[in-house]
Amino acid sequence: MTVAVVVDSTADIPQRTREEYGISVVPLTIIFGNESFRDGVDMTSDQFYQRLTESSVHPSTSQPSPGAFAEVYERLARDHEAIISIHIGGKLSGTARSAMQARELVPNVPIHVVDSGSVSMGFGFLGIEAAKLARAGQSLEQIASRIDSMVPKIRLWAVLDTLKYLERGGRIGRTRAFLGTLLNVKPMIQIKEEVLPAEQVRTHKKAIARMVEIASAEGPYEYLAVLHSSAEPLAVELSNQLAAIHPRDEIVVAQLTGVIGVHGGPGVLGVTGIKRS
Amino acid sequence: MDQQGMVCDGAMLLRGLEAAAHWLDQHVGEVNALNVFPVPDGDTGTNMHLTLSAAVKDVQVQPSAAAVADQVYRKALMGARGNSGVILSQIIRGFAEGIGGKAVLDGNGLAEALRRAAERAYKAVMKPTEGTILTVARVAGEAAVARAEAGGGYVVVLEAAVEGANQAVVDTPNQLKQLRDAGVVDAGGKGLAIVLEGLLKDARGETIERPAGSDAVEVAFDIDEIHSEDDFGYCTTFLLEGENIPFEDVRATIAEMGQSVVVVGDETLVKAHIHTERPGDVLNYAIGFGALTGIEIANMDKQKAAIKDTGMVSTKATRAPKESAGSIGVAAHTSLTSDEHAVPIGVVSVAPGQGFVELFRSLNVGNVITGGQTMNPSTKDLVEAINQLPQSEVIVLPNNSNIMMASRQAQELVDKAVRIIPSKTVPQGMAAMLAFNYIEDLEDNVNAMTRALQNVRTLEITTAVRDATVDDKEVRAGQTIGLLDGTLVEAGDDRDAVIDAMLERVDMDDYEIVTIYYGATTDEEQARTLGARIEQRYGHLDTVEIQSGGQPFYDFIISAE
Repeated sequence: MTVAVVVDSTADIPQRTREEYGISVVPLTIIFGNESFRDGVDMTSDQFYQRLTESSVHPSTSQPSPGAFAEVYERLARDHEAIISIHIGGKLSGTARSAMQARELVPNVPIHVVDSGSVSMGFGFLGIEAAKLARAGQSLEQIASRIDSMVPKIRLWAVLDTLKYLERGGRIGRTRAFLGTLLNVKPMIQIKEEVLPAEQVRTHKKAIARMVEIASAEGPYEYLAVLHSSAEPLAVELSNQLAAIHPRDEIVVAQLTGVIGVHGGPGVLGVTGIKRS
Repeated sequence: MDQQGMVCDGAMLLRGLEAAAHWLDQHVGEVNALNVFPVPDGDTGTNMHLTLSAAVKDVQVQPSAAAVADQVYRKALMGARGNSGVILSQIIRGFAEGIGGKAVLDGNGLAEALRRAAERAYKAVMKPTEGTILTVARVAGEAAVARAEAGGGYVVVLEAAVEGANQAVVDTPNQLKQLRDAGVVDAGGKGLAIVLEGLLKDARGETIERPAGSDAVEVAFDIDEIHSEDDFGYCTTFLLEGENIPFEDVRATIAEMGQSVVVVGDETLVKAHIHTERPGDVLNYAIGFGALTGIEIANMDKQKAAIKDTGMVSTKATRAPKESAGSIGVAAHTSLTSDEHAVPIGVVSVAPGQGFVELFRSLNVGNVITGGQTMNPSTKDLVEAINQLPQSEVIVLPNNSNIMMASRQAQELVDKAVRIIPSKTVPQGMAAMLAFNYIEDLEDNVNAMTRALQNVRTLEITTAVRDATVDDKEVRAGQTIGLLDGTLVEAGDDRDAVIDAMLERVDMDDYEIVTIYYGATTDEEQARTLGARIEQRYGHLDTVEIQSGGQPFYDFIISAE
């Protein structure tokens, strides 16, 4: 009997890793007009980005229902002694709240819900770390203590091609400061519980250079990933440059899942890491 | 005043400084023309004159020389404009310190004051260079000390100082190659010699009148009274200084060029106000008669739209010419748009045109001062702009090397934590502002913004106002000249060829984005044509962006990033 690990679909953990560690994923929902899709299940990321750029309807997203979480928790409770459920930041999505409510619905198994304050591999790594510890036979208490201590060490920066999607999705927050810039620029944001404005760059080349600079200044990292939305060549270039601060073969390159893509749009390039203590 | 001219008291000192301001006023054009580069915005004389005028304005007459000097130097620090004005203000400060509380100055007292003045001047600059105003201040002080030791009284020592200053001025081209090549003496040094000369003339009992043409009251008018609801186009005002200006012809011609035209003045100074669709045409016409200063161009259509959309008054073309004795209207407008929640650190930027003002505001610069190459804001303008911001930490983007020293002076005069980014061109300021990070602290921002300056090249395209030789390059008046990062590198009769040659000098392979800012003398269509040519020639470029800068004199300011 071990501890089970649950994340939501915005964790962007590559499928192979998920399968290797037996991490369960609860999908959020993407809604195009009156059609809805389970994130990463009914539609691949590639299909999603194609539709995002072609569709005249701007999609919206919604968190999993408490019922959807409860179903997964109940299934896992059958052959696990406890569950750790790690999620996208509570200021960005209601997903962690749904998970909390689901915990009340499944009282027969201890469940520790983590609000990561981050997105994508920023907390995906927490899922992977939890699964490693679970495999090593650690208790829920031990795993929870370790994962909770990693939350403040998550760093995530991203350069967006445009603020348009954040604005449409209502997640613009303090990056409102960047709206109305007359020059043709790409906003750089930081995610730390909420979306924060960082600075502005004019080209992808500069975006990569600045992210390498900023990420290097904050390092070293236990885990490091490059994130992108349909911008793989740039992501590879960024990974190659980050090899200066982290072993290249350990840098995960992850495509942002559709739910994040709805808010960030295509052409996002980011870097996220868990700082080494 | 002592009958024999042996000593000087407070009243005499003040009268002498006022006379010096008038004497300098009479020589503003001459000093302005002593520019190393034949760019149309030589303003050393203007800046020094405005600084000295501000220094003596509303000073209370007191019997003690020290009491007068103390008032004068404080006003000088605030009124200082341009690097030469800032150095002059520091010279005045040193002079006041050198008086050291004395009520009357004898020969020794004056010599000590002049010696201290020179010391202050040297301290005012990071890397003192000989052959400049510094040398002139030092030589004047040394001559004064020598004569005082030989037993001279106030006037005699002052005579020695003037002699020394004049000799030092003549000698400046022997010390600085740029001056020798350009065939000029140092402008700031000449300005200082004129100031000392003015003091001496007054001490000898000569009366120096304020030159008739440049009396601000005579050429001032209230722009608000001229403006009406349905104005359109560009509200353009400027001062034209020259000799033998055919005033009536100029007035008649400008009157044909737009609406709401007011032209006042005489054959040496003309002040003009006009609403026109093509401000560049008016400026190009006027520059044929002399030097232009105090240029302000505001897009009234955009202003109105902005006020309507945002309820926020943008940089409005109002001014208070009565303030600045002499000729120039208020150089700086400020606009406050800071949202203290959005921007943790305040930013003040200087921008030479309405387009640039709007660009900086869109990048969340809290306070934009209109000014720049032709209108250097005073230390006071900068102090006020910094103090108006709600933030206690403020970054200043001077965007012009001639505004650096006034910015540093302002930094010392305010209680806030102020850091200055050494941006010498507007594109540098723009690059720095893009690098402004909303999360990092002041120190990290200063470092990142300063680094960002190095990633941008600035090409400025303007017209030579006189013949000159710069770095062995022959330049004729009227030719297009190109400045690369502030240094004149190309000149020629064909503007396109000059721009092409400039681009050749920049290794364009290293750059991804070219931005063309068109000014008051050019339009969007010309910029697009140029942009298309650049895009075709450098196929690897990510973007060639066209923006309205609104800058006077400079046809194009082009940045490569």
